[in-house]
Amino acid sequence: MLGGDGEALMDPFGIYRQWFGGLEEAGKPARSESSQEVWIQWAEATAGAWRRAFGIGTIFAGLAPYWAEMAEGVRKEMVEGGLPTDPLDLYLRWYNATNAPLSKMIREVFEDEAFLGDSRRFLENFASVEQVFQRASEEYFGYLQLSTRSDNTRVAELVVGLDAKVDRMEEAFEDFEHGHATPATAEAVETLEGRVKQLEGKLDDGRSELRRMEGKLDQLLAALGNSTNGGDPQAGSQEDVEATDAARRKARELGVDLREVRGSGPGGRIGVDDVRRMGGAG
Amino acid sequence: MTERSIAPSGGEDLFDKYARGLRIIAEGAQIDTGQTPKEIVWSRNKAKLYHYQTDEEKRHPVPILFIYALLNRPYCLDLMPGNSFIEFLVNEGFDVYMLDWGVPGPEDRDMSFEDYVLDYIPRAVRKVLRNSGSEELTLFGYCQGGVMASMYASLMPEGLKNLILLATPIDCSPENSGLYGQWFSEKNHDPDTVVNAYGNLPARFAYAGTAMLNPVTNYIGSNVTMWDLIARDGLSDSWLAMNKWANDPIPMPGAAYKQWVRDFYQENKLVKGEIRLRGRRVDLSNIRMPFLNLAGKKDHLVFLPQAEAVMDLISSEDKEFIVLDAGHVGLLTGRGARKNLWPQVKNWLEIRSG
Repeated sequence: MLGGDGEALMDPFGIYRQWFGGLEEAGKPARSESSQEVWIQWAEATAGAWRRAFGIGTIFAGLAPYWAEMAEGVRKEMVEGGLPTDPLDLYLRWYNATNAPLSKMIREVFEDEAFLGDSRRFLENFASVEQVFQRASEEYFGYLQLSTRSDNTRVAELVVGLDAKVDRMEEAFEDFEHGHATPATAEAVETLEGRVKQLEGKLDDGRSELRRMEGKLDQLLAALGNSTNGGDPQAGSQEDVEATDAARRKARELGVDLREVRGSGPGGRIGVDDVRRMGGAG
Repeated sequence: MTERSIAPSGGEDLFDKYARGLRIIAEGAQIDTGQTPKEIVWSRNKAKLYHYQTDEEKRHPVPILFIYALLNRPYCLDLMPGNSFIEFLVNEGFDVYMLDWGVPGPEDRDMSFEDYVLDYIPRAVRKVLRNSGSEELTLFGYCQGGVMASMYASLMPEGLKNLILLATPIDCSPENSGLYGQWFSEKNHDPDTVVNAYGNLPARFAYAGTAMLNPVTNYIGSNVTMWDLIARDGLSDSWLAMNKWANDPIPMPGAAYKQWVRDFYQENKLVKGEIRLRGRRVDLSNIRMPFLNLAGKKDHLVFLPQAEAVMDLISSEDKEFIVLDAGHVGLLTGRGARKNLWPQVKNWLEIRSG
């Protein structure tokens, strides 16, 4: 696909030299004639030069038809269109004449695997040069104690990370706000109240249960006391002694036998202070 | 003299015209774009979620969320007043949102399709649903954005009422994807070459990649057209806006570019059901919602078979493939779009946005 003879390839500007040669020829007889004539000669010479340039094989052989088409298009457009009125007009017409074949030509090159292989190698070289250069400047600025782009990038990464964290918190907060803040309805409140009552009931049950257990424990303790003391003359349960609940608790705490305490309350009832006095003395 | 001549009426006039043209060549077209009023309802890193504002009554409760491509800027969807797809939809009473990926910096070189499809889009979808108070939305993907939208719809179909893809390359097998396919083939291009050297795909590479598909028209023809227009009836605002957009490329994050070339073009994994995002397999047959697929006959970036392939892969019963007589960008803007794409989308959506 990539054609052309070696000699022409060594002279990449051959095509332009041919072209300008053609233009010189066109210029020679022009002195005495009208500008319109000069123009036509110029256009013909250009197209001719293109054709010849192709003849020497500077470009891909497969592109010959497009090249010829382009030369012919320019010749036709320029000769038949007449003298351009300003450079812009020339530009527009030039484009119109060359656009289609040039596009096809380039397309063919771009689809060519050999060309794409070269492009790949070119890009690889280009990128590796860029990499080397970047590394070198990185080091250089590092020596100068100046911050480099990668330093800035590291800082930016931190900012981005922080931003992500804040966003996650924000979303968690939104989830909370939207997920749980449903307004309470009358039924909901009623069922809640019902549940609270049930709970309270259960608690009461629990309390009386506890009281029963306490009583049993006391009985057990008394029975234990009886069995260890054997035939104690002061036999009889501490339960039989008149005492306040607080006094009984204190007595258990201090290890005081209620039967040995003299009550100072009404009817000889034992109070906390009586137990404390006894405990202190013992 | 011919009738095509641009003979000026006076020297001053001629000078004026040259000055205008040269200015555009030197500075680029200057014109305001993306002017439909919008509010940013969410942002993360460079990405922004726009909510388009209007006084128009919202007649369709299901909002539309546009997912744009990573290449190029999204204002071609909202080019300018009177020539804007988004403005049209908003005026038709649709509630419109768009996810703009923004311009990636060197710190974003590791951004991949996983990040976009599994983190950003789901977040944007939830945000749109909350913001609009709707239970469902229409997901609308353009080009590469369509690829992301279809992957999202396969993985997380909850909350999606409809799916619309516009000029979306689903099948990137070499026989379907033209010159791009050939350039991106394993033999001809290794994305690591670019990514290792630059981090991201540089904007100028992205631009050249597109322009080189038709270099004479893109590099010379656009200038010729400009001069021709200047000489004849002057440059229209639409032309200026389009020209500005076409010459305003952005870089593409390196990791995403590697995936784009390898997984989508070289191995064509999407149609084979072999794309995996953080271990989750993308199976297009999970798409069951009403589905509209639009493609351009003259599109030389995304060819018809590339876009059509998805029709046989999804499970939607309500599905339609519409071919329009336009190119990749001509689909969206200009007189042709106003007569074809815009009303077609409107009609399809109207009965599915209740």
